[in-house]
Amino acid sequence: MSEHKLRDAFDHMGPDEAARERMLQNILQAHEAGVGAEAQPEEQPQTQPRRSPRGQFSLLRYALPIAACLLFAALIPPTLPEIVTAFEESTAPPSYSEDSNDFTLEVTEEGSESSLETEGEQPGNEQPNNQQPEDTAPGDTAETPVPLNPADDPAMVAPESTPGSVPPLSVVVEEAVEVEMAEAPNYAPPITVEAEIPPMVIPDPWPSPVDYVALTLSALALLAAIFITIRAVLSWRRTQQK
Amino acid sequence: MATLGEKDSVWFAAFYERHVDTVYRVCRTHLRNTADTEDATQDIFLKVLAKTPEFQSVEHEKAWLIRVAINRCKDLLKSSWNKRLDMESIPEPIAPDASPEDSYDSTLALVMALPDNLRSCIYLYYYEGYNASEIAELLDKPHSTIRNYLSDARKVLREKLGGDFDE
Repeated sequence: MSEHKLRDAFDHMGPDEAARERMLQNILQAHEAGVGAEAQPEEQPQTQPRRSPRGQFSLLRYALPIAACLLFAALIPPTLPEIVTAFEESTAPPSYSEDSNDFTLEVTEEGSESSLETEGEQPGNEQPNNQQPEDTAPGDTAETPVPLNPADDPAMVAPESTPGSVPPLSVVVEEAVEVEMAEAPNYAPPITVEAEIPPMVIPDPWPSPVDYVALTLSALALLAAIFITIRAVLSWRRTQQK
Repeated sequence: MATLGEKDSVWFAAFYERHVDTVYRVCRTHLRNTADTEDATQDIFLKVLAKTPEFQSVEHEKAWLIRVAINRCKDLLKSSWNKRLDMESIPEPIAPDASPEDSYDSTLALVMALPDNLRSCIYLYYYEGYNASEIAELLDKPHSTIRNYLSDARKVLREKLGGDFDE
């Protein structure tokens, strides 16, 4: 019978006599030792109960996370778009744009009348120039304005040509301008300013997704700071009640 | 806790003789290790000395001890030391102190190879003589669960040992 086999097997699983005696002695010895060990502290004078450090309120435990959250909330909105832009620039392939907007802007002493010389072949590409040279006062303009077209200036009109000795027209104009300007009382040589005007970017009225992400992260950090502050206050009140 | 007097010593000696085998077997069934079994048995009897619970009958004593022994063994098996050692991977000789009869050893080896829950149920049902409801109370499990445990254990033992088992 299998059940008998099982019972016999369990019968043989019990402790032998030596083990029984050993365990009984161990139990009695441990009991007496336990009694002796418990009797000793009763005789000793009671000392001040030690407060566990967990029960105390530690300001640093809450102040550091709050400060970190506030710092995060303050730094994320301005820095995240820059980081993303820098990352995009670093990872984007180099662009080869053939659009050349470079031109030289020549500003004479008269800010209102300036001459434009485009470097490339861009006829008719005239842009208003309101820039004033730094070392020129507003009222410090020449009395005689220099026309842009030399043909408009009677002083620059070439003298009646005589057959056989006709100088080049450009040379004549240049000399006329030089003479005219040199005679002006507040003459200053023309200042040439080379400015590179970036392509016009129309500002997007809506914030970019990066801005949204930055604002969301900042808001979350602020919420975390508020949550930690509430917990700190509750913990402080609990320790005060104790 | 006080030092055992003459009367208590006699009472405890009788109590120990009555129940040490049961407690030892329960612990051995769970722990499968002689040294741990002896430690657990001593712990349980020390608890009796420390608490001196009042029992209504011998059966009450036995049931209380079995329950305490099972809980103690579960605690020991859950302890970090046992988890770290991974007792299943250590080959433990089955009943080294037992008589070297092969049939007992092989039967015991089969029972010990069963999962923990099935092993306890088989021991309590076939050796201690508890029924499924009493085992359910002792192990703090539903009656149907105990019936399933017993059924599974019988199925395994029937395949290995042959013969019939009382349903």
